[in-house]
Order: sequence, then structure tokens, then C-alpha cells
Amino acid sequence: MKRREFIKTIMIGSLAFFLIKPAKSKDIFVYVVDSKKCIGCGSCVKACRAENHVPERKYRTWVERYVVTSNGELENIFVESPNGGEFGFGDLDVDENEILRAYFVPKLCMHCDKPPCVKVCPVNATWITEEGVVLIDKSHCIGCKYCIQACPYGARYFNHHEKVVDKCTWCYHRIMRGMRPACVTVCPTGARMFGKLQDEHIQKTLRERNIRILKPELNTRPKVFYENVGWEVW
Amino acid sequence: MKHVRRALVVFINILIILIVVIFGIKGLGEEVYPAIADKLFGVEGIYGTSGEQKEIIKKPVHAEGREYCSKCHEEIYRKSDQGKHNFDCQTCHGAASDHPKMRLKVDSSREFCLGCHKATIGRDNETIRVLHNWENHGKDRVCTACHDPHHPWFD
Amino acid sequence: MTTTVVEGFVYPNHEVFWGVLIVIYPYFVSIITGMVTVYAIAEFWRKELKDIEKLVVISSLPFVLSALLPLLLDLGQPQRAFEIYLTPNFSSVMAVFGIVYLTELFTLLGEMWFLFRVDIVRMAQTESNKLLRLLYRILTLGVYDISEKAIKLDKKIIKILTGIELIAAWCLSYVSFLFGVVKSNPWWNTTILPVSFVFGGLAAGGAMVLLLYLAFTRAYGIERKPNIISTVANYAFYFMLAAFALETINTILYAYKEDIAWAVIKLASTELAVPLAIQVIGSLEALLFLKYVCYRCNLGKIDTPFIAIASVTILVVVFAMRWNMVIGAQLIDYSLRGFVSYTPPLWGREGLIAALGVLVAPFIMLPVVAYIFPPYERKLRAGL
Repeated sequence: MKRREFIKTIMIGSLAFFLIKPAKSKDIFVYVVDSKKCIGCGSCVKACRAENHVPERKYRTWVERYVVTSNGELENIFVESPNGGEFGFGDLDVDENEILRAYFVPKLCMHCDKPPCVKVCPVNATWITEEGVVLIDKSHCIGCKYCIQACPYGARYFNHHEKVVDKCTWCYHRIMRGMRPACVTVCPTGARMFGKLQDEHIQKTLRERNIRILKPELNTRPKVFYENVGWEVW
Repeated sequence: MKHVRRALVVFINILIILIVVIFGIKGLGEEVYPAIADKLFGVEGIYGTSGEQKEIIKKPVHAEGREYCSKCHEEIYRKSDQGKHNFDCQTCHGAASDHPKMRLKVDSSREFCLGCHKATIGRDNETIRVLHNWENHGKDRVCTACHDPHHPWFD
Repeated sequence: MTTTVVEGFVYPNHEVFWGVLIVIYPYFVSIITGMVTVYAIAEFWRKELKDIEKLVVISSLPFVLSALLPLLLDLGQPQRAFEIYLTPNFSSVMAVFGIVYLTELFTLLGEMWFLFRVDIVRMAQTESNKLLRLLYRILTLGVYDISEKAIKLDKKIIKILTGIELIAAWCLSYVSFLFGVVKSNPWWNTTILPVSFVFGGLAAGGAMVLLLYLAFTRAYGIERKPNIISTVANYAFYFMLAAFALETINTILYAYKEDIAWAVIKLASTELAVPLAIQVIGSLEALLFLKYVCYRCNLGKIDTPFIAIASVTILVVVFAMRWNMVIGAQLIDYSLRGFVSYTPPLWGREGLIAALGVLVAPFIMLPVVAYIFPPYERKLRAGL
């Protein structure tokens, strides 16, 4: 009986090699970021740190500033994220007239529908829940850091105190209580939106044409969508 | 022939022991087996893949929403609700986790307000009222001297 | 901090997560692959290599055993390592590694047993040291049959085991670097990578066999045979050539395609100037020396210093290749806008001292294994 189960797991496992199971439930969560509304104040980063006890210099969410300038030549792209944007952004040594466009882009775990990190975890310590959230079992993780290498968005970090990998959970403990993630809660301008795919405010933004995902060429199917960002964001 | 048979027996025995160990430990349940090794090394934790999903849900919430604040501070809640400062209280006040016991501190310095309202490259004028002459506007005074932080506009 | 941002924008969580230990791990695996392949060549094609069969088998065992060391040291929670067998995720290359590794280990042990069975039986009867005699007696499994028929059967089984081991070793080499499937890293995301990896490994294994042949023949006072050296050196030459060609083609293709990652790879390669220089110059030098060694050996002359220099160069070059592949790829941030630099710490679990210990480990184990399973007649050792 046990052997049969063993064979069964192997069969399923080898199947999983080709088919990564996407979220089962119909009401999966999605996250929408409107870059135009982000003012780069860093309160999301602070709130995330307080809520999830993120260690120093590690970020579950961070804010990047994109400044595209042109001085007659083709676009120059400057990207920065000092301290993950936690303490705001300083002045830049650029001529205001040369700036073509400048904006802030909050980043976080994309909770991909085809997560490359889940695919490479050797011990099944990270998985995708029915709600489409990618979680880590910190007491199961062996700390091989393979998932960090596999994540194209740099969302995972190594917790040097606990010696395991950690990442954004979309505040799983909050959203399962019907609350919104901490970063969404504290955003003063509503640049971050969170909800089920069927929710009205999500549906409204997802019907917009300028919505996009990051690194679509990798076919990870992220569930974080971006509005009003330029081509230079990936 | 005999030696091949014996070698095979030894090999199969090793294999069986390995499989028995794997399934034996697995049979103990997911809550136990990562813990065996961990306890030897003095690491503590909550174990189990399915259990962890439930454990994460149980984690305490530190940042409650503004409706939670309105239970006691209804007046401020209503005042801020009318203006553009109708975002969450903890954006400025910080997480309210132990609030009734612990006093919440709020930074009332100029720098704190300017964190959002200073004119910065990338900050959209349509989203937020940015202050271009922030060096001179209300110099040497805190912003709250004139502006009510919960409703900063003059009617 | 071992990681510092050098230029451009880097995701704030970015670090060089896999340090010098994970350079050593594929390095060892490469050497194992090479040695197993040399053994298979001796077994299946080149009868003149029969002389070094035992030598190759016993010296691959320490490498197989110590290949686990860097992995365990690198894990954040090494005590949970056995979970790879308990809750394996078969879509993960690292979980597959666990199974391939066990296959490799068992086939190697089986091969050793069948190869040394006659010796074991003989020594179980003649060994004067009581403890050793007991060990040999256990190892005979109670069968003292060394008739012609039994030996013939042994040889057949060794052939089968070698076939399995060869496949396992190549899989191990592929698996050890199936980072290739990590699509997020442009440097690893190339089809050519595992192939060049295996070829580099074959060259390193050949070089290691040459070095060990020099060492063992000296220790046991055995006359060196030019045709053995020439055959192994010849194989090492072609494998090295293939590895060098593949790496170069890979780089040229990348430079010509000039996609979004190339700009940052180009910049980051300044951080790797030394290992890259070692890789290129060393490859050429090793190729030259190996050909010279072959040429001299075909004339019946053995130039020990040249053989040693050539082998050591190959080993260093392959190490530099692994460094460039593991560390070099991690220097680039996935934002493809910047890179970091990496200097391994001296102390600590992932430090240089630990790495050095891991590198030396197989050479500490080797004399023990060679004492229990002497590859050549033991009586000659008296002259040492």
C-alpha cells in the first residue's frame, strides 16, 4: 500500500514536471499598482516591515524610481531604490527640462500563476495556495536558496537570522481575515489596489488597455498588474 | 553465482531500509519529521506544509484599518473622511497593534510632512499637492502650526 | 557583507547567494564525471587503460563522498537535508540530484566490490592485521569463490554497472548544473551550458586521473607506462578542446545577439577579469602542453613535470570556469541594470577556510581508501 503510494507520488511528481498546477479556486486574488498615483513616500515599506518583521536591509516590497531623460540623444534610463524607498527619495542631479518622464514603481512578489520558485524547491517547502498566493513553510525550508535564484523579480530574500528564505505573502494572515495587505492599507494615495479577480474595482482597472505585467516573456503569469508604467520597467 | 546473489540481497536490504526509513518518518506526520533533526540542533518551529498555511493565518495583525480607530476617535475619523487625508490612520501614526496600552507617537516635524509633500522628481502634481518652495514656505515652523493634519485645508 | 553593489541599479534583496562552496560542488561533480568516463573508456574501448582501472575506481569514491560536503555547508538548515528524500519535489533539479547521487554512489560501491572481490577474498585469508581481516571477511559476504567462472561473471556485472554509473555520472553533471533551467538568469539560461559543463568535467577528470597516476606510481614504485599517459592525455586534450570551444561559442553568440542582458554581462565581466584570463590563457596553455605530452609519450618518453603542469592547469582552468559560471552569473542582477562584486569571507561556514577544507577533503580520504583497497600490489609498498 505504502509502495503504491510512493509510486503514485512519483507519477504525480513527474507529471508536475510538465504541468505546474495553477490556482484552483475561481476567486483568486490579484494586485494592481497604479504607478501614476505612487508618490514614493515609503510608508508601504515601513508598514510591511512592522507587520511582517522583515529584517533590516531586506524588503518584501520596495519602491523604485524611474527617471527617463533625454538631452538630444535617445532616452537615458536611470533607476534607483535607496533603502528600498523606505525613507523616501532624495534630490537628483538632473536638469528638470531634460526629464521625459519620471515615476515611482512599487515592487513586490508577483505571486505568479506559474511560479518558477515553486518549480525548483527541492522539498516542496513553497507552494501555491488555492487563493493563488505563493507561501513558504519556514520550518520546512532547507535554505538552499535555489528559489531565490529562480525568481526573476528579486522578490525573495534570505533571512540571515532564521537561515531560511522568506518573501511577501500578500499578508496572508490579513487577507484570510478579510482585510487588505498592510501595504495596501497604508497607501495614502491608493496607488496599490488589492482584491479578488471578480471585485468591481479590480475588474474596472483590468479592463483598461494600458495595464501590463512585468517580464511577460518569461511566461510566469504574474498576478500583480501595473498601470501607467513605461516600457523601461521590468 | 552465490556471491552475486548475496550482494544483491545486501543491496536490496539497504534499499528496503532506506524506503522504510523514508516512509516511517513520513508516517509520523508532517508536524514531526522536520522537527526531529531540528530538535537535535535546538531549532524550534512549527512544522508541516499544510499546518504552516494555517499557522500563517493565525499570525497577529499589527496594522488594523481606520474603521478600527473610528471606534474611539470618531470625531477625527469623520473630520479626515471629508478631505483628502482620508487614508489610513497608521500611514502617519504607525501600526496600532498595542495601541490602547501603548501610546502612539506621531512625528510632527517638517520633514515628516515633506516626505510626501516635497516636490520630488517622479512625484505627480495631480496626485498630491506638492510644495515647490518648501524651503521658505512657513520657514522654521512646524506644518501643524497652521495646518490641521487631519484636515489640512483652510475652509 | 560579501556582496557590494558596483554599478547601476540592483534589486534591494540581491546578494551573491551561492558563494565559493557552490563553485566547489559542481567542480567535484565534474571531476567525478571525468573519472567515471575514463573508467568507462578503459572498460569498454581502450584495453591498455586496464592498468589504472582500480586506481580510478578507488579515487572516485572520495570525490563522490565529499561532493555532498559543500552542499551541506551551503544549506541554511543542513539538518533538514534529508527532506529531499522525504518530501521530494520532482520538478526540482535538486531533488532529482538526491536520487541520481544515490544511484551513482551505489553503482560505484558495487563496481568497487566486484572489481576488488578477488583481492578481498585473498586478503581475507592472508591479512595479518586482525581488524582488517575481519573487515575483509565481512566484505566477502561469506563467499570465497574465485573460480574462473565466477570471475567471468564479475566482469560481466562490472560492465553493466559501469554503463549505469556512466549514465548516472553524466546525469549528475547535468543535474549539478541544470541551473540552465533557471530562466531568470540570462547567463544560465542557455542550452549550451550543460554540454560545455560536461566536457569541462571530462577534461578535469582526465587531468585528475593523470595526476593520481603520477602520485600512485610513485608511491607504489611502479613503472609508468607511456601509452596510458598518452591515451588519457589525448582524451583530456579533446575534451578540453570541446569545453573551450563551447564556452567560446557561447560567449561569441551572446555578444553577437546583443540582447538586453549582454550590456550588463559585458560590464560585469570586468569583475571577473582574473578568472576569465585564467580560463582563456590556461585553456590554451593546457591544450599545448597536453599535445606535447602526447607527442613525447608516443615516442616512449615521459616528461613528468610537463604532465603535472598540464594536469594542474586543467584543474585550475576548470575551477575558473565553474567560478565564472556560478559566481559570474550571480554578479548580474535580475533587473539587468547593474551588477555586484563578490569577495568570499575568510572565516565562517561559507568562507574560504571552509572551502579549502572541502577541497582537501577527498585527498584526506584517498589514502584511507587506498589502504583498504590497494590499487596495486601491496608488497611493493614496503619499499616506500
